[in-house]
Amino acid sequence: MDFNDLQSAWNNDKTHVTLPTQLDKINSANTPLDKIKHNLKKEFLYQIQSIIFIGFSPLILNFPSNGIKVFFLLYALFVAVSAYYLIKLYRFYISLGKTTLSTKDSLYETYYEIRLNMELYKTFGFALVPFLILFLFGIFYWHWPDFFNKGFNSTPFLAITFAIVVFSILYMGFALEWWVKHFYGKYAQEMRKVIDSLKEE
Amino acid sequence: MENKEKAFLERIERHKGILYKVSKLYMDDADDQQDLFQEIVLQLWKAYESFKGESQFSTWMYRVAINTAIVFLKKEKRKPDRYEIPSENIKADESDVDEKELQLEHFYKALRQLDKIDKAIIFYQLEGYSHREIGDNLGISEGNARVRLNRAKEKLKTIIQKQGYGL
Repeated sequence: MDFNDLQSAWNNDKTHVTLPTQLDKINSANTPLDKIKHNLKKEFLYQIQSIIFIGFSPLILNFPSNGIKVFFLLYALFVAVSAYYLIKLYRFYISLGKTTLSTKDSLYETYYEIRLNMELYKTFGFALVPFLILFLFGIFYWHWPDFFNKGFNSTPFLAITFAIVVFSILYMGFALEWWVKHFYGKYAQEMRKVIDSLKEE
Repeated sequence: MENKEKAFLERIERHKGILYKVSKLYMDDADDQQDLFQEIVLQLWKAYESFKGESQFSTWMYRVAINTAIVFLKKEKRKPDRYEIPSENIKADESDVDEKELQLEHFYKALRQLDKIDKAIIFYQLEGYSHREIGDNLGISEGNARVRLNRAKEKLKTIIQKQGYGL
């Protein structure tokens, strides 16, 4: 068997196959882009649900009347920050649907677009850190108001503040790294491998 | 069906055999081959809008097909088929397994052991592309395409020899 035999075997392969008749019925699900799109879509749904749910917190947790105004002021900021990032990520989601991997350049562009949006996602998470800190403060104030009554310069208050801030930053940092890597990074890595294998030797 | 979609399907109809060969080259499981084939058709349809006719339709089509195959992921969990059920859409020209078919099967088996880029290079070679054209399609230089092609052929030779066929 030499290469001519292979060529002839290749030329003689006449397998019959039928084209799909309805292109819009084809479910694309097995490329890194599809996986990322699928995960992003799920996240949009969960995040929007969560934002709406958080809006009902005063009702569910029976907030005191003097806390409701403050809550909704912060909630409005939280919604604005979330909307800003979610709109950007939604644009990325739409652009992924239009992406075609017809050239090596488009592979590169798409890969860097994914990396960029992974970083955007992390920034989104970090933008929510102040809200997490305020939320944890709220819980403390709710359950242990004595810490706050001793004044802002008291050692217990400063210790709690320090602990909350450090915990929030570390928690968000690690959680975001894991989340982005698990749901998006591994698919970006697949594309990276292809790009690397096309590098000049 | 829209005229555009119809025109696209008519154009693809003439090349569907080669698209399925790409699927066979990259996937060993019949279901995965069918999935990849559909994915290629879908990607071609998505990219059709941007096809300006600057290159030959077949050249553009091969490029999209190969790039799709390169990034395509196998289904993570598929129940193992105890009984091989041929896909409804696929049937061989002859039902009897003759020597040519066996040879072809060995050939695909060997090709599938190459890495993704080597498969693409061998594909273009079998389709009669020059080193320069292979390089253009894969975004590498002509020299690099030549070196990679020779290396891929050597690997293929070793694999086929291990299978008990000489090359």
